[in-house]
Amino acid sequence: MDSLSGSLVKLRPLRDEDFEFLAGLRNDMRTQGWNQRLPPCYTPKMVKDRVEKNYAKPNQGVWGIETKDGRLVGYINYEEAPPRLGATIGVITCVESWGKGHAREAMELILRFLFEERGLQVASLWTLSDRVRMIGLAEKLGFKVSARLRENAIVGGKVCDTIVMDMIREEYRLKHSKMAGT
Amino acid sequence: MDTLSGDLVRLRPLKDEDLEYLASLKNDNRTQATGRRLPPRLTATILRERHEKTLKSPMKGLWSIETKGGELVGTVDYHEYLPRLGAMLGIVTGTEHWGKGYGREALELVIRFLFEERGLQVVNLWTTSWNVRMVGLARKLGFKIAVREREGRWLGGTIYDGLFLDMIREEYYASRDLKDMMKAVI
Repeated sequence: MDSLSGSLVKLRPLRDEDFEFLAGLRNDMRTQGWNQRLPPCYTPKMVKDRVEKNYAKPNQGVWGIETKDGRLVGYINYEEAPPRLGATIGVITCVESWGKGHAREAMELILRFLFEERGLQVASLWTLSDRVRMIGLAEKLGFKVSARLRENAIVGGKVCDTIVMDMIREEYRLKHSKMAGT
Repeated sequence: MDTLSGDLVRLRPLKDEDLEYLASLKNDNRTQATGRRLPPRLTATILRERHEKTLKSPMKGLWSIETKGGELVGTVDYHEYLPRLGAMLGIVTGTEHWGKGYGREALELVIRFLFEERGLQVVNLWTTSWNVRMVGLARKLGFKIAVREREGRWLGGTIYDGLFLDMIREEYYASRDLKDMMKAVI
């Protein structure tokens, strides 16, 4: 693997001029970025502080998702917990880029990195039952629903479930046969 | 709901260059911002420190109100004093922007966010009897006076009442002719 680069997008380090756009994604309640822990009044500085903190840790990664023509469309991150065993992935892309395969390829690049370069046993992600696009994408990639926290979130005036999905190393290996045996 | 944006204004995160104007609003005795807790000598620096603290709290929200043309009007904020149950609102707009419906739309956007996305039971706000514009706006939005703190405030040498207005979830949905989907689940 040369770099985290596919046929549609590449993952690149974040730059100062990205934070305005990323704060906008966090404040858009249609995206994955709005995690309900903080209200949608994120400032670019808050995103920058968080990313800088993240960069200082060996068990976290964060990248901008850039299309091949150089447009930033979102970002992707992971946090290993426990280190070298499991990781939780987060991905956000702007609504305009939905349906174009950008998030899917970014997820594939990260999964390959985590399973093949970090040697992890399991990758997981959290979403909401309302986020049908995210659940569909995760299922296509090979994730399965492993936990459902019933009726513990609200989206658009409706109660919904928090969904935890995961994929273990063996499932990844069977789906992506290029990977050498564990 | 995608972002907190209406026909006249949008709510956006605060910027450093807003602070000078916002400090001047806090120092203007005619606005809602005059809390009498500090004399009108707030600086941009004091505000910046206060805002940074506010924005880190999961139970507080704070936005700049901006016209669709990009002009800064003021701020709107809330604090969930009991998480996921009740929130207290705050709003301040510059006197030159009064009477244009900006404050009304900004409050409507935040109230909708609190009932629809946070699932709250009640929202409320404090004002004073001299601030007839704020009382009128709150009533139009569906707030009712719940507490009158008699002769507890003063302005320009005159004594006024402190007023606490609130609106409960059922009143919000009934007055907007909306269906409460959370109630539907229960």
